[in-house]
Order: sequence, then C-alpha cells, then structure tokens
Amino acid sequence: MPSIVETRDLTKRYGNIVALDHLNLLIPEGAVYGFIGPNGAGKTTTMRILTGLLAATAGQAWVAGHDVAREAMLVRHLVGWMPDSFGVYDSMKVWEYLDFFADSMGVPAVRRKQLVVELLDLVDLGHKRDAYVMELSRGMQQRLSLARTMAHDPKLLILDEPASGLDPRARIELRELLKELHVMGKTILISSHILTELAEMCTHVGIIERGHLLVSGEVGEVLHALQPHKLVEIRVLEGAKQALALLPDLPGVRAARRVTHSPSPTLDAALPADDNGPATLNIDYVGDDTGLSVLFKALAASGVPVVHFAEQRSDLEDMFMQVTKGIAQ
Amino acid sequence: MSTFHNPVLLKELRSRMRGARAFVVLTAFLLVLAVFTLLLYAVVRQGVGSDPLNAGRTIGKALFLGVATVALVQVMIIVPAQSAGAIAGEKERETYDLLLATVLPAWKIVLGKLLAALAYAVLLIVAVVPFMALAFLFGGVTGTELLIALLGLLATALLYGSAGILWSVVSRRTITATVLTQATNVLMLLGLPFLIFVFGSLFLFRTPQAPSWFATYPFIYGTGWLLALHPFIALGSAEYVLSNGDTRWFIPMPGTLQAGHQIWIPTPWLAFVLMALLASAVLLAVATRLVRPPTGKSKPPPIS
Repeated sequence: MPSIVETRDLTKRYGNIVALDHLNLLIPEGAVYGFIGPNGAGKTTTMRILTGLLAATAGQAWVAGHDVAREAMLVRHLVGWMPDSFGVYDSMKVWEYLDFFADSMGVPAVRRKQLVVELLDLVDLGHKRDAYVMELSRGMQQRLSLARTMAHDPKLLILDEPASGLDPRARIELRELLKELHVMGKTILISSHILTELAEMCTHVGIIERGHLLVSGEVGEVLHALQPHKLVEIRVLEGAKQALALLPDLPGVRAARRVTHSPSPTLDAALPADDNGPATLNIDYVGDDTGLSVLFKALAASGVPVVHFAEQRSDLEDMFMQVTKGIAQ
Repeated sequence: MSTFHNPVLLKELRSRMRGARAFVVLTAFLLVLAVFTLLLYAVVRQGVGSDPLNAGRTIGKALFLGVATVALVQVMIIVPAQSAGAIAGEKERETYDLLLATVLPAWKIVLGKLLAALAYAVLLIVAVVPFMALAFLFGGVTGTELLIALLGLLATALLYGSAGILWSVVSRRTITATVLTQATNVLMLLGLPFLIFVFGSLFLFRTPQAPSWFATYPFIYGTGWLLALHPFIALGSAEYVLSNGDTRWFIPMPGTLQAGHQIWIPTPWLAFVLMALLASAVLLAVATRLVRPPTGKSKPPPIS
C-alpha cells in the first residue's frame, strides 16, 4: 500500500525544548491511523507541520509525495485539518461557515451551494442550515468542523482530538461518521486520549512520547510484536497448586502464576482464598487455538475443576501502557 | 480563484453589518457630530454678530473646519479600533489557524480584513458629507476643499487602519492590539509636534536668520515627508493653502526664497495622501509577511 504521509527525521525545537526528535512516520493510503501519546508528546506539533501551519526545525515531511514546506499550497489542497478546538465566528450561520471555508479552499461558486447541502447531509446537520454556528451544541460543532475539513474533498484528514469534550452519544455519532469517511476512501490521521474509541476504528496505530515514535504499524501487527505470547486466564474451584505444577510442563506454556487480584472480585469474594480452594491463574502461552484445547483437556484430565478458561485480549490501552511505561513518568 | 475575489472580505462584510453594533457606532458617531455642529454654530453665530457682511463666510468656514476636525478624530479612533481586532480576533476565536490552513494567500487575508475595516470607515465618512455640506449654505468653502477633506479622511483611515492590522497580526489578543494601535496614534499625534518643537528650539529659532542648511532640498523634503504623516499638521496646512486660493499641486516652500533659492514642495494634502499610501503599503507588506512567513521560517512568538 503506498504511503500518503511520510516524515524523515522530522525535528521541531522550541528553544531548548525538543517537541519532535527525528520522527520517522509512515501512514499508508486509506488507513485510519491512531496517533497516541500523552500530553506534550508531539502529536499536535506533527499534525501542524503536516498541515503546513508550522515549520520544522529539521527533517522533511511529505503528503502524497509533496514536500509540506516547499509545496505548502498544494499540500493544503490535499489535507483537511480539524484542530482540537472549534473556532466560533460570531454572527455566522452554519451554511455561511461551510460556504466561507469552501470558498477559501477555492471551490467555485457554482459548486458551493450544492456542496453545502451535501456536507450538511453527510454530518446530519441539514436541519441546522440557518442556525448560528455559536448556538450549536459541542457535538454538532464538531460534526460541522468535520464537514468543513471535507469541503475541498481532501485525500487526508488530520483530526486532532476530535472527540474531546463530547458526550458519549456525540462520540458514537462522530465515530460512525469517521467510519463512513474511511469507507469513502479517506485516509484519517486521528489523535485521541480515548484509546478504546481509537481501537474500534483504527487500522494502524503509532505511539509517540517526548517527540519519539515508539511504535508504529498495523494494529494487529503492533499488538503481536509487543506481546508475542497469549495471556490465558483460568479459574479453578480447587487444585490451584496441582494446576500450577502441571501447567509449566505442557507444550507452549512459558509461565504460569496465581493471580492475587482477580478481574472478577464478585466471584472471588464468594470463594475462600485457600491454596487448595478456588483460584485464578494466568499463563503466558505461545501457540494456536488447537494447542489451547490440548491445554484445557490436560487440566480436565488431571482432575482440576476448571470453571473459566479464556484468552485475554490485549487492547490499545495495554499497548500504550506497556510502550510508554517508565518514559512518561 | 480570481485575484479580485476575496472570501475574507465577503465574510467580514456579511457579519460586520449583522447585529446592532455597526448601527450603534454609526448612530453615536453622527450624534456626536450633530451636537458638536449645533454648538459650534451657536457659538460662531454669536461671534459674527458685529460683522454681518462676512457672517456667512465665517460661519461656513467654522462649520466646515469644525466638522472636518471632529470627523478626523473620530476616524482616527474608530478605524484602528476596528482593524486592531481583525486578526487578533481570529486568534481569540481560535479560527486563525483554520484560516491559515486554507489556500488563501496571506495578502488576501490581510487585504480582506483591511478593506472590511475601510468599508466601514467609508460609511462613516459618507455620513459626514451632509454635515460638511452645511457649510455651502453659508459660503466660504469651495467644492475642492470639501473633496480634499474627504480624501484626507480616507487617507487617514487607510493609514491608521493599516497600523491597526499590523498590530493585530503581532498580538494574540484584541485588547493588546487596540492598546498598541492607539498608543501608536498618540505617539504620532503628540510625538511629531514635540520633535518639531525640540528641533526648532535647538536649531531654528535661536537666531532671527534661518541657518543655511534650512533652505536645502534634503532638509525640506526630509522633514516635510515626516510631517506629512501627521494628519492634523498635513491637512491643516492643506486647508491654509487652499483657503488662500492656491490649488496648485506643487507650491513654493515659504521662507526659502529669502534664503537664496526657491524650493518647490508638493502641496500638503498631496504629500499626506502619498505618505499615507506609502506607509500603509509598508505596514501591510510587513503584516502579510508575518501572517504567513516564507517557507522554512517560523513565526515570531506573538505578544500576549
């Protein structure tokens, strides 16, 4: 898949502060790229450089093969940018807002009238056409802002914390809208603090901290790279010692341990915390599902009463915590 | 996009005239002018009682000069206040980056903002015309004087509006830009006369005879162009020259013939208009450069 965004040793300094440190980023065309990092990690700086709003101190960045510094005007045609704040114009109606930005992006007057209708339909704001922008709810403003980024039909959407400050319903609506844009073939670079949201829509992910890109790639590949083994949770009614003695000798098991704090406290509370009583065990396992079934059979055959046996899925939050651990502190 | 099509100007005009603010300012502007004209008429009318032959001319002249002066002061206050918020207001509303992320060239953003402020100034200036025209009922004022007064008001609006735009670009907040713009106004209005006073006291008025370097082109033109930046001095001198019936574009500099040779200078209103155009062009060029710096350079940190 060809890349639409590429940066090479992108560096940005503000005095003595290094906001970006030799960032090498690659975003494939058509991807939904989740850009994750703590506050001050360099996400917004990267986005502003890609939008042409900020000049890099060193290094280069390209959008669709065009240098963002040297071909800034061309890049602006290719990028739709949504900042983390929604700028409100006084005394401006919704249709005027879209018409103004479409006009400013060079959309001809004959096309704009129909375009405004289409954009408002896309973000489900057709009924607010003549409302004043400042009177819209936060969720509506974000959707309008997203419609604005689409005014010139850009290839790449750069969205900086689009879900921040939205209520759960508005977040879901925004997420559905982004999925629709992805289906339309847009490449989306999105930053967010709400990782569960990104996990549901991102095809690719990059974690940045203190200006360094710690990890980047397709979500599944990154998860696999960070956690090559599977984590399997087993709950037994008794015989924890027996199970712990048996498990390490079984094929694929790298480690087995007893969990002191179960993710299901209600169940554990009902069971006595005895070595020979109910317990939760975790095992690190390398292998496929067939191997897991062998594992389960072996435990059952040894007479250990298993009541729960499930693979624990890692998510973006686990990945984020694992990758940034120690550096962010 | 056509060179003459400016989305920023369109947006500004659309939203500026929406709501009560524009009409309230215009109404207040005209009320101040009306009250002033009425009071001035009452005072001058009483003063010319003993000279009925020239009463009309005196009243007409006084009304014209009075209205022109008040209009000039109002333009110098209102136009910079409008333009100072032009770009800084975008920053406060967090729409500035959205504007910069469009394909609009920086000069269009700056010019759109300036023209929107000037359009309002033109509205104010046009509203002044009926007050100035009152002078024609009494006599003593020519059509040329009226046209030059209007041109002077427009040039003042352009100059002070451009200064407001520049401060608006470098400031993060409208209040900062407004304070800096009005401070520039005050500095120009009071600083220039003070410099003239100091210079004259130290070098010119010490002896009855003017020094030899006084009647030279570099000195006359150097100080002349500087003085032409002061609307009251420039337009006041213009009115003095026009009142004497001199409508030439170039006039002899008073006092230079006695010093040896006659030096010709542009008539004051022409010098003022030229200087206003030149200074505005410089201010706007700097503002444009700061709005979107050339590729590869960062913006200077804004004044907060």
